[in-house]
Amino acid sequence: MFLINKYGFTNLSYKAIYSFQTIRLFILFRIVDPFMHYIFFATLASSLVGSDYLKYVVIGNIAYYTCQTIMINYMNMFRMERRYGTLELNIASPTPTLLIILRKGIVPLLDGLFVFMVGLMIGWFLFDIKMPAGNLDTLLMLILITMFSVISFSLLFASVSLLFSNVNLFLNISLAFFQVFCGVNFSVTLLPEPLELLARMLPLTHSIEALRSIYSLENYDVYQLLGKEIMIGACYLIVSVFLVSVMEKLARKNGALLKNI
Amino acid sequence: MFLLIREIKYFTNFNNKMYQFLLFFQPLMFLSIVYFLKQVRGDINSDRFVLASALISMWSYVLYSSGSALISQKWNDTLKLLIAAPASLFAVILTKALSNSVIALISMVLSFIYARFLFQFNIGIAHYGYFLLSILVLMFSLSVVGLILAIVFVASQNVFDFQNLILTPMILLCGVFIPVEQFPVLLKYIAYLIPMTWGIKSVQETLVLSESMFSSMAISIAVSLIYLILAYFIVKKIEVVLRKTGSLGAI
Repeated sequence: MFLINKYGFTNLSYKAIYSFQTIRLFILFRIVDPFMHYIFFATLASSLVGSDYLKYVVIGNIAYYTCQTIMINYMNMFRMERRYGTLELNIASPTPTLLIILRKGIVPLLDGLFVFMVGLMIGWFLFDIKMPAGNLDTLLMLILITMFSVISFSLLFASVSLLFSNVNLFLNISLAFFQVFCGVNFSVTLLPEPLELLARMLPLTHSIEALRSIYSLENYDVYQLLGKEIMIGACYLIVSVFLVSVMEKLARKNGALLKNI
Repeated sequence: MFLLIREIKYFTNFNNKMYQFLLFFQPLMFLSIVYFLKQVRGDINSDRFVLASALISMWSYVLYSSGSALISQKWNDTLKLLIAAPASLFAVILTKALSNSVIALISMVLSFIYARFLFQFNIGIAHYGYFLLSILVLMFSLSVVGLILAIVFVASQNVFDFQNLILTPMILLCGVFIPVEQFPVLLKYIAYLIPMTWGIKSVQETLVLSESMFSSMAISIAVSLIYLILAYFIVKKIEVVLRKTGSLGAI
């Protein structure tokens, strides 16, 4: 089992196409960079609204940064496969494409999990956001559910990103969209009604509300929010599985996967 | 001047998707956040934060464009042509830095247009003449910072890898959100050594017609000039080393 894990597909994929493989890069981009991100938005919000709003914003940005990490890395793995011409080989291989994609998702998922945990630690030590002692089991459940919904969305996002010849603009606009519409810095209830409806269809929105409720910064029913987050995650998973199977069929038929873009 | 116009024409074709985001979409994102945060507490004076949105986009653009000004020449294999050209390397880099700060101004103008017409923010510019003057001072300081970035990024490959890491700390350090006067002593001195801090300070002071706005502008120009002279000698040195050895740091 150890050997399979050590030399298995996930590990090979990580070694071949994942961005951060040294401890120094990991510390800089998984601890220092998110820390600066939290400080930046905490400063923006507290200088605008007041320092009592700081915890609210930091919590939102911890969840957002986790989502950003998973989305960027999942998409980058697809992008690298495409750049090196191995995307078609994945489809041509006897292993089911979905299994390959899910295995590729393990490293971004673990990476995101690390960022989430470190984020909560940073929040605890530097922004005095105390761990909810009685709610640790709910917090753990929230982390798992958030990871599920975000990775499901990232799978869809990464598949759709294949349609773009240069994905940078698409990625940056999507992340900016998440930053504004997922309730990261302010409650989604402030959005106009159609936009709030849209926000509630995105992953993360309910998770952020639940996370703030666990930390007693908002007063929502955590389990209800987590239930909605699971439903949203499941919907994205179904759509992305469908999309992947359609792309696979098209690739087998045409002999190329979006090669002319 | 000819080089400057060519540079601006080259960069304003907006083929680079990253620049499209920085110039057109990033101000929208920050203004949206300011707009909705303003609804949390209605009595906020939003002028400073509209300006902050513009400054963030300007700085981001200068960081990414000027920082990679020379390295991108290496990627395009045109660096050797630059070294062999009759124009000095300093003139070339300075032109690039200047053109980037001129283009960064687009994002400031766009931010103000978005803020006024899309978000209905009242931008309280008390005196347009002084404001324009302070913007010119800011652009000069941004150009000098861009010039320094181009040199630093050439000197070390590692710095180039980490440009994302200096994006937000610089915004915070230059007093975009919190005035530098409120920083701890050490941070305050570091902040005052950055030319952009004074440029930003002078623009912020011009908005409220502060008495110290002219002195801030003068200090901004003086600090920027010191860096400009320093950069001149460093680039001359780089040029000599490049001609002699054919390589330097990241290039």
